[in-house]
Amino acid sequence: MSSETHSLKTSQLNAIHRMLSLNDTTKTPTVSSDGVYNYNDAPAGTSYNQWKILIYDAPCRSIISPLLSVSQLRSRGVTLHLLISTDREAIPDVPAVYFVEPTRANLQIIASDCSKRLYSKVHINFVSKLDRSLMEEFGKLMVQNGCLDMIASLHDQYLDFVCMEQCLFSLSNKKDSYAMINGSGVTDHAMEQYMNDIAYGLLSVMGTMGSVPIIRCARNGAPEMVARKLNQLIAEHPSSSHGYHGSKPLLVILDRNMDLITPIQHSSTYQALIDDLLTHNANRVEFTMNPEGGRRAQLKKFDLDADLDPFYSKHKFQPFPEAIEANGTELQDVTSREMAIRSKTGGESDPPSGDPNAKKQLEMHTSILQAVMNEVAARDVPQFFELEAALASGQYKNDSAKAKAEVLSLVTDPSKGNVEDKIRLLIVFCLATTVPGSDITMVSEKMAESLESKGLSVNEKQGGKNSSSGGHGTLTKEDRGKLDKGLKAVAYLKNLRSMQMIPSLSDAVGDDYVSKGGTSSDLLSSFMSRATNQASGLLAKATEKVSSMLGKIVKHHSTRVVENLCEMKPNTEDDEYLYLDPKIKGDVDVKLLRNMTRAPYREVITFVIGGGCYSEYQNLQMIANERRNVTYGSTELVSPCEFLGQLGKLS
Amino acid sequence: MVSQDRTAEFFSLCQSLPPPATPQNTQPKPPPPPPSSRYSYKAEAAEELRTFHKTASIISKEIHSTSQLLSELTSLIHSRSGSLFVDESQKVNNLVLRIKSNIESLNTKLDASNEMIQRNKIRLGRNSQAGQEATNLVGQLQEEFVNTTKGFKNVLQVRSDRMKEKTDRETNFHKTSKEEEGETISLLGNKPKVYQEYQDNGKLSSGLSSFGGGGFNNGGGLNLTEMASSGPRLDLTSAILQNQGGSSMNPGESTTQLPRPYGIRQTENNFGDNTGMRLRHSQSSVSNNDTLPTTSLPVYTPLDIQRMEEQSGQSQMMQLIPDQNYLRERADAMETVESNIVELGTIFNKLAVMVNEHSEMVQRVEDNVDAANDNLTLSLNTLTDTLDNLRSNKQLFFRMMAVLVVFVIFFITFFA
Repeated sequence: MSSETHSLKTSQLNAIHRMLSLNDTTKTPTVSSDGVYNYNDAPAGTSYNQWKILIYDAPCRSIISPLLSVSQLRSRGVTLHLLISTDREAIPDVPAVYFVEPTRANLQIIASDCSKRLYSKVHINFVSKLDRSLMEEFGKLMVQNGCLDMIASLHDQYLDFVCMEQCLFSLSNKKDSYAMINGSGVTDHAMEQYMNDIAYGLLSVMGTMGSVPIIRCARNGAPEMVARKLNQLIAEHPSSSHGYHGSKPLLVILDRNMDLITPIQHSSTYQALIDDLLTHNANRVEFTMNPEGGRRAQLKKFDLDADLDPFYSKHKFQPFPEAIEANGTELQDVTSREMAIRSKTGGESDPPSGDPNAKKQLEMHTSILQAVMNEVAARDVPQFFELEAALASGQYKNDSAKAKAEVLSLVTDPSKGNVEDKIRLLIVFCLATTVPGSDITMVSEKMAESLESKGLSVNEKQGGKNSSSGGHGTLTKEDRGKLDKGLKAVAYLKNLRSMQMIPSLSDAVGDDYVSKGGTSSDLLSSFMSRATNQASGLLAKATEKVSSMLGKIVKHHSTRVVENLCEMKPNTEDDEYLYLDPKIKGDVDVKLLRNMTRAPYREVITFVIGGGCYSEYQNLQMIANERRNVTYGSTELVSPCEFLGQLGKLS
Repeated sequence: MVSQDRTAEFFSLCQSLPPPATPQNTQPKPPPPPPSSRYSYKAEAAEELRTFHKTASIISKEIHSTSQLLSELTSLIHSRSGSLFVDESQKVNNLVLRIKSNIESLNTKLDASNEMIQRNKIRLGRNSQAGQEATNLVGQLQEEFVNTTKGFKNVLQVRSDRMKEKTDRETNFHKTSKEEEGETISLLGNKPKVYQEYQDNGKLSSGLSSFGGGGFNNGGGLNLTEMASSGPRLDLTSAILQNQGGSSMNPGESTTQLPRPYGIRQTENNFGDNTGMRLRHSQSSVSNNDTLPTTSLPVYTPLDIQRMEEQSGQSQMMQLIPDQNYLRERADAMETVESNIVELGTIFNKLAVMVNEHSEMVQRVEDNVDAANDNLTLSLNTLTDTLDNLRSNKQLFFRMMAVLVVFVIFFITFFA
């Protein structure tokens, strides 16, 4: 490809476009300013805009859905999009584009489609590499059915990853990755296969970016396994032999175990809070809203696309109160402009072209913010966030008794937070401090006790209505399950800690930390009271004091590692991490490189094995600047609660 | 990009494979269609859909060519700086006409295909994927079509705006010069304004506001009525003024309520001989411009005309002729624009409805499946409801039977 590197999402989008144009590369489409191919003025009838049917399987659908909406697919000539597993009828005279994983089941379905001659021609695209053995099997099937003439093309696309934003991706089809990798009941073979899959996913990412990276990772464990496999794959891949221009990107492969606090911690930024508190999956957020009057809860669904939504892209990394404020002012701005225009035109004319969309988006954010705010207020999230941040940043390092007391008070307070919030705080407490295990046991017991009693008190209040749950059933079934799981997770982590498996936080907390503690506690509670007051009305105008306080965010572990590697600081991870270059056989000794001048990395890809989270993504973007582009990826993006669930499965 | 084309590899692999075991299968034939009773019926519909695809691609190509014409027109109109549109107006008109006819034919074609799909959908069944595919296709075509026509509409608006702007500028220019000229001229100077406003603004804005747009110069619409009512009055008084000035015209004639085309520059030159000038104008507008309201127009005899011509100087005649042409051209241009807009207005309205329906469709790929799921659960619920209904019916039936049997037994034991 061209020497200029596009962002990952743009590259993937272009690849999808090319696939939808039936892989015709004879004519290069015009490239618009932002690097996205402009196919829209291609005349219909050519292969760029031919009518076609798209047939995908579920993983490939999740790849396409954040990239292209239905109407965009339509404008690319896709008249129907169907799941491969559903019943499909014959639509003669229309070519079909298959976009599927190379599995035996899918190949059988395709073969049977061809033998039934459902479509005029078949273009098959595999999301990753089709094994030779599978291809032979498929070939046999096709020859037997006598429908070889149906196949127009067959491609390996290497697109096996889901791009949520320009600089954010996850591998598709990797659920429960942390539990999978760290679980005890996994056979060696399954693990090997899993690592292979991850390596292929990363190969897709690197291939789509069109560059050969320098791979850095910690020695031992999953990252090294993946890195070595990936190194080999890239070296073997035919297209890697002809050279790429530009500086090599840096691929850092990290293990989740290095930093377990971040995915479990409460967060304060807009995007991370959406992911934490609402149902958020592949850029779609869902929540239920009680409209005024509260008759029926309404399920709302919104698609968030940071690339098309200026407000979201501007404020997703900002602390939540700032986002609220910005939303309020921008909405006001738009409304007043609209009013001005209305009054000029006499009221009944149509609003100006650009504005309706912007206003719609802002209103969408208003309702999302409101939903988040309701949750925040109901669960007292800032208190948890504040204490967790303090714990994680080592403020209580020398004062564990005080830390314990604070945690205990918050955990046993029945009016604050739900079960999961408390367990998360407990886990942070367990991971971030060096208190003895007995203390943690004590706190967790107290928490369980208080939860039971809280359930009791609630139960007594509702005694008349809720007569069936007598005696012990004080918590709801759901909460009890969560509590049990959470306690299991705590037990597992305590175990890990006693075995010294987790790097002690004392050295992880570096000098980067900017302490802004002290008076924060009362500031926070003042914010809370303010926010609660205004949550019912329109959104709060949070004070600047609060936002500045929440704005100071400590660099997370992964961020520091990546920064050290990028800036090649001596005596840090740069020295000890493995250095692999697919173009050079064997390992490279970093100590030797130190004498040479190394070009700075312009493109950095950070990949976390075992689940990533939005707060880590946001944190990493802090070290991105105009000369350095940081892309964050993970096996999957987990919300804190999901991660808690995975931890619970482990013990 | 790492995407690998493995078509060749696959085909060479297939060739190396042994031919299928069963000998009768060596010559691959498409499997015979399932012999169902409805087949021919469906096949017919499918066949029709096939031809439909061909028409669809033709339509799509036409849309594309139309949009190309449109971009040409747009560049032409936007590149035209403030200068007079003497040169390009012909070209622009031609383009507009071509685009308009294209749009009209496309509209009828789209209508026809839509109808055909509706017909076939009934035959194929409501949820047929082929039918859905065709509907989506037409929907997409309609959307493209509307986008194109929207562009056309915008271009036409820009064009009429430009015309209006130019007229205003001319009037302004005239106003500055008129102050030097004196009373009579100022009166006369207003007349052309009346005429031109009427021609340019009035018809256009009425045409424009007749289709939903409405955004174009509401004030202009107001102006029009004002002008239209005040115009003749003004004209009348000025004619009387002229009469008093001692012309040989007869009073009956002077009250013609005819809005006159009036060359602005000529008025400046000819204020010495106003009467003749004016008559000349009214007369020529009768003969040349049929579209003007000519109801109350007195009939001139050739003799009259001769007399008037003698009165007006020869030199003025020479000056008047290009002016006439210019005005006529202008009036024609405005009329075409106006009629285009009015004709297209109906199409726009119709399409706007269609596209609104179309664009409120699902946004994300998954939603399709979600909807299907919802439908599934809904149908399941309906089925269980029906089952419950049936069950209760059965119970009722049993109860009735029991009562009946008891009654029969009672009857037999006691009466038999």
